[in-house]
Amino acid sequence: MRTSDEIVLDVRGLTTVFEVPNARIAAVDDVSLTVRRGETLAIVGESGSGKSVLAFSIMGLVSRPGRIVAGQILLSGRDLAALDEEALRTVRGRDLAIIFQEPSTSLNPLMTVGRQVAEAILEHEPETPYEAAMERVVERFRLVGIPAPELRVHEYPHQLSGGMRQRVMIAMALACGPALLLADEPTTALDVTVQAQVLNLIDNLKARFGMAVVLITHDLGIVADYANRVAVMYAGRKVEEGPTVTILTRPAHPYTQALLACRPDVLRALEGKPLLEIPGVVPPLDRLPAGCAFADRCSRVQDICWTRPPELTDMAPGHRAACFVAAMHIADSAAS
Amino acid sequence: MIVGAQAPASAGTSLLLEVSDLVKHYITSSGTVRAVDGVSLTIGEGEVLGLVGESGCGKSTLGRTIMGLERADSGSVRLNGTDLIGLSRRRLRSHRRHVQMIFQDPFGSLNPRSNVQRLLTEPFEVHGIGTRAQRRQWATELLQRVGLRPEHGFRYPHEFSGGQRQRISIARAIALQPKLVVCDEAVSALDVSVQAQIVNLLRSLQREAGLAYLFISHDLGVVGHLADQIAVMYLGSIVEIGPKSSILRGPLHPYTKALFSAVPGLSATPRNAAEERKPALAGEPPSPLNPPSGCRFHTRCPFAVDRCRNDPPSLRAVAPRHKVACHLV
Repeated sequence: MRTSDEIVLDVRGLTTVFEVPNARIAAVDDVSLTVRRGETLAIVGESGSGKSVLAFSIMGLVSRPGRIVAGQILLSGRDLAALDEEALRTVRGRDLAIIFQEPSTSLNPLMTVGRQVAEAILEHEPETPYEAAMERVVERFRLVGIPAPELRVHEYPHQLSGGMRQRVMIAMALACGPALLLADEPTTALDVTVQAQVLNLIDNLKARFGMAVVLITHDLGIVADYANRVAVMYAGRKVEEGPTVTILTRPAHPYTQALLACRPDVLRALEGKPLLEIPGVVPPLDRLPAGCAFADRCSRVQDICWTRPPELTDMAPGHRAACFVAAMHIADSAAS
Repeated sequence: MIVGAQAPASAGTSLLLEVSDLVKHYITSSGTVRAVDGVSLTIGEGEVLGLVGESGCGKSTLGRTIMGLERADSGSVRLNGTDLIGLSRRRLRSHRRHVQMIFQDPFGSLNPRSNVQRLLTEPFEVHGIGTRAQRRQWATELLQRVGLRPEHGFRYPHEFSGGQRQRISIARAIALQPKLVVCDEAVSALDVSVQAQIVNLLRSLQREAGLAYLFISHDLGVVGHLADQIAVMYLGSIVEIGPKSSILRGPLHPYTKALFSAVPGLSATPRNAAEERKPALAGEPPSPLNPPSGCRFHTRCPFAVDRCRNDPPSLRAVAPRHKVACHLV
């Protein structure tokens, strides 16, 4: 299906901090995002970028010492950040669902997979008889490509392969037809041939159910194949955002550019050139510099970069980057 | 000395490692796991063989068996002509300094209670090489070779980032100037920006010191950047092996092709998400516990014919140094 104009998720100025002795760490720092019905937004970042904390914040799953200190999370117009735990519980699973990287840690090892998915349905639809819920589970299992679903519902998680467990998680996520699906590195633990199956499945189901999908990943290859738009995160902030083709072919932020250039790529391998390196490491969030967090690794760093964090600036319609150098470049070309 | 009419591994290099018909099975209560089931390969001096395959295909077991960390059931592993299988423990130890290993998780392979200098002098101590002062000097030199500073020697593994820890593992592995380093998913746990640093380090060390690598990875892009030859493994056997450019430009085995097309990619023009997807390979790798008869890939192969179900194909040359195990190629 085509992306519609209907905004499903509208995150505004979200800030999630972790308060530990002597430090207040902003794992997500003033991040805004929108996702429309039928759209896949990829959130890309390395470890420590804050991409998973962002997903947990949207789900209302951040627990002490972490908490949301600012911003709104509007799901179909309703602010999840303002809801209490009980109200959130009715929203979670019904209106928004999440798939994690490692399905085996999210499934109860002592309960058959069919019963687990049925209970997820009954949690939100207590009036539904158990048998009817189970019938829907079988139908959902068939939908996500689990062979012999009538038999598989009676199996325990350990009896299934990693790919099948992830399909069970997807079936559970879709049980109540959520408006928003958050997929946090859903295929990182899977083999590449199985990864393609699972990502294709999510993509097909998105179209079928008219969902909005937030796909959190470190893999730019996955972004290229499955995302409509991309947000790049670095050290808790969104540093660039735009349509997938723009981000992958004309990135404005030096971090995005470097991330693309250092990716081991089969075609580049045949040319025999060494990989581009980004020197250094992602800075620890409790020791961020005063200026741009990427400044000490950036090949285009200027004096201004050390003074304060750059703000997101329009590069083109729908394309924004938080970089002083890119902003100056745009201003220059607009002036000439 | 190389026995028989074995061709050198590649032009200009002499044969370093020759693995012939290697078998490693595990007997479990539910049956025999055929982890490595008759693998033959060669690596020349200073050459990199990339070994790719999905989890459970036996690639790590193959690496560990070559290292002598697992006892082979049959077959041979010749290093410079000496068969390491069946060597006594003492003789194996003296050969082992020529073969070293780097693992995926450097945290698990570095003793957390030893500082880095101690970690780097230890290989020399074990083999009784040098005086205390010399070992310390060598440790400092090793740190510099892998891009760390001398003062890092006084820190402990937990004080380093993942990439730096992998640099320490590499320094330890090259300390005794081995001929061959087995790298088992050595860069898989690292972030992309750090991964590139380690791939380039491995590449420059290989060129400077004439190291050979058996580079085991599930990541075709990484393998492509390091390997001279690529071998593709499926359920305990090599299904295709050949020079990097032949394998990457013209893969012939249906499994190799499927593996390549499944890699989500930037190689091709980025597609609009609404466009038609390439078909993913159906099913999952079968259990190595009871592998399928005939060609082990036949249960997932879109081209399988009757013969594939009964008759296991053997690796045969389709071009100089390019071998494929498929009846239909």
